[in-house]
Amino acid sequence: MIRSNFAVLILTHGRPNNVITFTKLKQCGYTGKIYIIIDNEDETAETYYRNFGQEQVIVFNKAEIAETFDTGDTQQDRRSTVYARNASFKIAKDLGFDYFMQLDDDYRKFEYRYASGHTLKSLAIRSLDEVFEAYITLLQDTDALTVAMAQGGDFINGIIDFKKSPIARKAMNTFIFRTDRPMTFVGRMNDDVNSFLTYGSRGELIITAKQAMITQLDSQLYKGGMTDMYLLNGTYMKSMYALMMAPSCVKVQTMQTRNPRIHHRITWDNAVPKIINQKHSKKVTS
Amino acid sequence: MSSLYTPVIKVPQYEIVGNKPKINQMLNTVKFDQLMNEIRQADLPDDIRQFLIAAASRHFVFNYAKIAAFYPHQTAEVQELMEQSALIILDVDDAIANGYAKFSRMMADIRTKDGADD
Repeated sequence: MIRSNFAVLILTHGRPNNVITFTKLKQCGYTGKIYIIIDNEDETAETYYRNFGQEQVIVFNKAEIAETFDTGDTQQDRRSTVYARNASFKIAKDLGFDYFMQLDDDYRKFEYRYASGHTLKSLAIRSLDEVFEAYITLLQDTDALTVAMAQGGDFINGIIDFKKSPIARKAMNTFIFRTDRPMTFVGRMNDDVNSFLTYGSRGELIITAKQAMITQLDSQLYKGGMTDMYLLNGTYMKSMYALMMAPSCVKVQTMQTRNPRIHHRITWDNAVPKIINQKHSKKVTS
Repeated sequence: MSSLYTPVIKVPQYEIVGNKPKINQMLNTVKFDQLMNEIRQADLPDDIRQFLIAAASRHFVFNYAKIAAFYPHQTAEVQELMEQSALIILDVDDAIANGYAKFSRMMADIRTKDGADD
């Protein structure tokens, strides 16, 4: 059983019949509260209400929230999750929650990642309530601004990297927050990267703990949401937002994958301050 | 060849390596200096010049690994100023490391319950 002062907010737009995260949460053992967050420009709102019920769907005013943060450009295109991310803090607070988790709508797997001998293994999560509890406890104990699960790209170097770096100083997709410690996401695109870099560089602790991960649907094959924006602009524009927000530690380069694409690359030694043991401090403690 | 085994350190604390670095190892000003030269030579109103100088500071490149190695060699006063400027994050009473250790134990227990074979 998950604590009662916690809720999951699924951020979605334009695909009321395809909120696969909702189904997957339940399949993986989550029994807590779920809210569907849509904006007032969503033409499919009625279908969301019909599918999830009026009380479970929360609508925010996109133009209103747009006035509260820096999109990093002069465009008027509001097809971005950044609006919902920023709106979600007030929504969670108004609903009376102390903790909440932001999820996108397209997660097809929640899995454990763990080392078994020299092998990096994965296993489907069936006790998601308890897993979320563990992540909330991590947030509380470390006083982090946000904690998150990993995603596939965090395991590119396999078992060696997993053992060496079981955490990363970033957060994407599955943000867990305290309602009373809001974070303002910036940039119309790549808002998660822009935000963990700007907050992280100023000493806020942001953690991805790799013991669990989510897998998203292939974004460029999935209609609706951010997909149209990525197809329109490629990933070139997306990567440029991170470069603009943190030019001292971000480069834009071609990522050599099966389908080569432009991507941001972060030099982590230049991005966020190191966490060091108190034994190095000369401060006299009473 | 990389080893599968790494020294036991308190995750996620950074293990400081090397001697006390020099200032120029902690801060790279190449891009900043280049921008400053161009700003100085340009004919600009004062307020715009000041704005561009402030913006150029975004190109200071700090090396936080070197900064972490620098910290233990400083006086308590300098250390305090470094902490206030978030040049390092001091893990007071191992709260972060212990929090992570507790989380790892919790995850291992849940995973085992769900059928993991580690």
